[in-house]
Amino acid sequence: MKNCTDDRCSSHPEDDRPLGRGWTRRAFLRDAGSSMTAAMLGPSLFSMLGREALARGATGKKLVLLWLEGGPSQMETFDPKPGTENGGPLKALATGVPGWTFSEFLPQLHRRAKDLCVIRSMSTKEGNHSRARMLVKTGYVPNPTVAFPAIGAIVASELADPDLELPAFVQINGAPSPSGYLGMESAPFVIRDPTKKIENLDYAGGVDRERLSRRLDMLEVLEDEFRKKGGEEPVLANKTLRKRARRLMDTKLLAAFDLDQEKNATRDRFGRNAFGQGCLLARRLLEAGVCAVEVVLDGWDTHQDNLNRTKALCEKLDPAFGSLMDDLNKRGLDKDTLIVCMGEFGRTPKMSGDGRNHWPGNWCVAMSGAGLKGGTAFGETDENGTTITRDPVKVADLFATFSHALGFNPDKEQVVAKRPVTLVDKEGKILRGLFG
Amino acid sequence: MKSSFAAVGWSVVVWCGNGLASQEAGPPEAATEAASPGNQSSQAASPSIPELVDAALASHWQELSLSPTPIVDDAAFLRRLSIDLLGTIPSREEVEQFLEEKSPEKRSLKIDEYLGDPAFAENLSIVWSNLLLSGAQSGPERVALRPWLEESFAANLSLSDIVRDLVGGRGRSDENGAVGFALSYERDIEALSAVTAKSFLGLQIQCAQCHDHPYDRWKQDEFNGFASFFALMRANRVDPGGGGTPPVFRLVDVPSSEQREDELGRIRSFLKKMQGELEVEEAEENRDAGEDMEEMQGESMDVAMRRERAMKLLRELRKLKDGPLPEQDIESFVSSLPPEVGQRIRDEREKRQKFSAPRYLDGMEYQENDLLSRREALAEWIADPDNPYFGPAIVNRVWKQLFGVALTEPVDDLTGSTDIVLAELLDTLGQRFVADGTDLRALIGALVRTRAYSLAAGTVPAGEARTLQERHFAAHPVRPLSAEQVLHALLRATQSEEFVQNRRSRGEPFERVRQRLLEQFKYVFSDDEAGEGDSFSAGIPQALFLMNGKFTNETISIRRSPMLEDILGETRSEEKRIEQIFYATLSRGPTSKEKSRLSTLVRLSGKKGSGLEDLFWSLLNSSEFISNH
Repeated sequence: MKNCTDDRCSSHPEDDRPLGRGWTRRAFLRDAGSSMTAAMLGPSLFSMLGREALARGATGKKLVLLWLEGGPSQMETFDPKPGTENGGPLKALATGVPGWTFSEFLPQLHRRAKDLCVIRSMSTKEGNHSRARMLVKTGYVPNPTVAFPAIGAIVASELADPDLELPAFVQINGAPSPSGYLGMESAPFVIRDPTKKIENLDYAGGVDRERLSRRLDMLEVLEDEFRKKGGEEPVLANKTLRKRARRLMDTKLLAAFDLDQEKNATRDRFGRNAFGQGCLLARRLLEAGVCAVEVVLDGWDTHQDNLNRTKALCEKLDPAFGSLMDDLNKRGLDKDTLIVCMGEFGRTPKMSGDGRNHWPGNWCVAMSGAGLKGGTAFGETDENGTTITRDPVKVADLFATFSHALGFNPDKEQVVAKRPVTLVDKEGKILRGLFG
Repeated sequence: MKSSFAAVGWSVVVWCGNGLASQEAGPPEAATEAASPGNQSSQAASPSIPELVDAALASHWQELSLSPTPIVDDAAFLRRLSIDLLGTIPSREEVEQFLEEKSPEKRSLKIDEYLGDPAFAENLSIVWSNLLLSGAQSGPERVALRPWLEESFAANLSLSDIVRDLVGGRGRSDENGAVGFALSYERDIEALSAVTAKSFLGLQIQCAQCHDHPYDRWKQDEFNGFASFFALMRANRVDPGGGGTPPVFRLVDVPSSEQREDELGRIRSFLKKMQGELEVEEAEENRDAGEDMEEMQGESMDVAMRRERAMKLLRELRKLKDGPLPEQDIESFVSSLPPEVGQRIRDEREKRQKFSAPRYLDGMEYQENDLLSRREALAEWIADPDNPYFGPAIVNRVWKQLFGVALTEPVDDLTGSTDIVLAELLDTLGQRFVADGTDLRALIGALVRTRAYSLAAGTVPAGEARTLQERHFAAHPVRPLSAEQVLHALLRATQSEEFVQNRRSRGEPFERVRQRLLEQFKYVFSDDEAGEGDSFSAGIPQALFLMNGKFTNETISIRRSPMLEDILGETRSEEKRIEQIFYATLSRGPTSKEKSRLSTLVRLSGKKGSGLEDLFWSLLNSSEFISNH
């Protein structure tokens, strides 16, 4: 019915087109239909939701992106060069695979090498933080005409369960990843502090559901008027947004955000810091049906005091990443969940003072799950870590590989600013060698 | 109001004349140009800026067969002007007064009023400090800049003088707030160079930092030459502050003739620092050695070797410590140092070399001298009336702030852009801006007096046709408000300056509380980390804030809202009450449709007063409220 303002009514389909300049950057979220699926309280939130989504044809695959903001030094993490001048005083931990080592700063990941797949030969040309960030997050060199979506937004757009009452893409810390031309439906719901309750979820004092409904009726009158005056884009976007906000207010799945439901021992294991707790939250969200989570760890831009600062950051990364792998494994979610750990570039093999500067020439990506062959080191650099000796990888290749692991179509096209644009750059080749 | 383009000359005159005629005031009047300050002398000789702009657009539209939208009504004009010039919405009293005013000059008079309002300078200072600090570190150094900008704008200093101070200024941050700009970038002269070129010259040179720009004309050498102007800048903290007062910093430039001493001094302090670090390490190790003999024995060869090397280094450094550094040849001295130390110093020297040869972007060389510091020389070059970039860069940016989209997009990429509308107009306006004394207030005043500024938003369905219309300024775009604007609008709409006052702790200045509130707002409302175009970002957190947040719900409640109290006291007519709430929030009266539908809903709310609260709530949550249209 046209006059229906009930947010839960599914009798009027939403216009799904991406919206124009100025509004596409906003974190609006997709309108997810209306049928309420039963949710289960308690530690295990996964299952019913997941199975039904599968039944509906979604691949059920998920993505966790551990984003290392600032550009982590590969020399002190995934491609150390012990005993060399460039490598510095750092020791390395040997794996069974010849030539494959982990920095001594990552002992837990080292122990889990058999479940990890590390690319050591990523190579890009962007040394500027914001351009490199865009390149590595979206798979495309940034350009002024097209706003490309980040991988989290792509996953949300392609793989999300349309009936899920939670946001499809959740980001914990950091500047919001762009959803570009995919629009606000696929933009992330950003949380700053994973240990705190989400604010403003409760009905305001003196307001119950009925009164809120009345208010929304009045609002509809105003939105109607503004739509006619040229405001149809913000009106549509805000309507979607309010629907999602209300859904979040009422859903039982909100419990997924409540870390107090986890045992202290678990919370300790992940690490009592924003990143560690963020990874724990990621696991809970995946269990509840969210298909894309990004957890950001900032501080890797070590132009000064590289060794100490990288060590401190690894002390957060190592247990969090390791625990996440364990938890997903234990719950059988690892087969369908792709964990990707990377930053926007690496750092100079040659020290500069006590720091390392930006180095896009060769850097690393560590991945796990979703059918990737564990115990793999792909690509190689020379003994000084300054050139790639085997299998250089472009970001487009990485994204093609993501599409294969997650099961979305990389060639899916959309016309943006009069040009056809594919989800993944056509130049990208899937790295078949990474799959079992 | 679709005019016929059959006779170009006639239609051009009509367009220019109607810049400020209110729609409600009846048929268009004869062409009268609103004189802006600084323009008087050139009035007879050349057309005014509004005339120029409207004429150029009229013929442009004709070429493209575009029809402009009609002029927007008084209420919408007032609101748009208030947001663009003052960063907030008008009060309900002001709205009512403006709507009732019969004078055909009222829009022009309102423009004059706003240009003289202290909030104008404040708003401008917020916009510009956000822009200038967009790539900077966050820290106490930033604090000094915005107030200084506000003072400068209030005094209507010429923008060239302002830029001279920003780029070349020196001294204490508590005496010359302009230094807050450069101070905020600390040692990151690359970022400072980038933002300087972007903001004042409209040139995106930062890609050329690491390699020659992929598609623009800038080469790495040129970037390094530009950045070199900032290489002799030195900052130190001269007062730690504390107890509520911010620390004080001093910004100076090393004189050209003292460069060598400066470098030697830095080498010396670096050596001292290294020595200090090693001494600390040594002390710690000696202490450990005393405590855990067993652990020492189990040590690997590696650690022992490292320790020996460090000890040797320490002995050599002690020898160098107080000895004179050689006058003649820094290079051979550095080569004589132990490898670890030598390498690190060499790396720093390399960086210094990169930025040792300042060169202006037009290729002209810079001569080192002791009269003007490098930065002062750069400042002079930027502000020079013959600099072809300065005028157009500023005009383009101001244009974008008012029209929503710049003539050349992106706004700060004048040489690399391919999305250009009316290049000639931008050049002309740029030249005029410089010729008229780089008077920013006059420029803004002139642009808001154009007819084009007062066009309504496009109503053709959103899509390619509308985008085209907006791109060519034939319709005004609908844009989201910035985080600051949302905050100010909410405070104004709810008359809750007092709400803010109540949250103050004893003696805390209002500015500080507003800053705190703004921080929360930015956290909730801002997605733009670069700080530029800091637009109100809508996401679930924002929707929740507006729907359920304490701020909205407390400020609209009958019991707490001073405004609702006033309105309830002023009139008993429900219709008038609804109208007043509309004036306060959307800065307009309700349409007849809204009147009928809403009064029914208000009455349905039953409980006394709660209907008005609900109306108030819905107005604040509306898309219209958080848009600039």
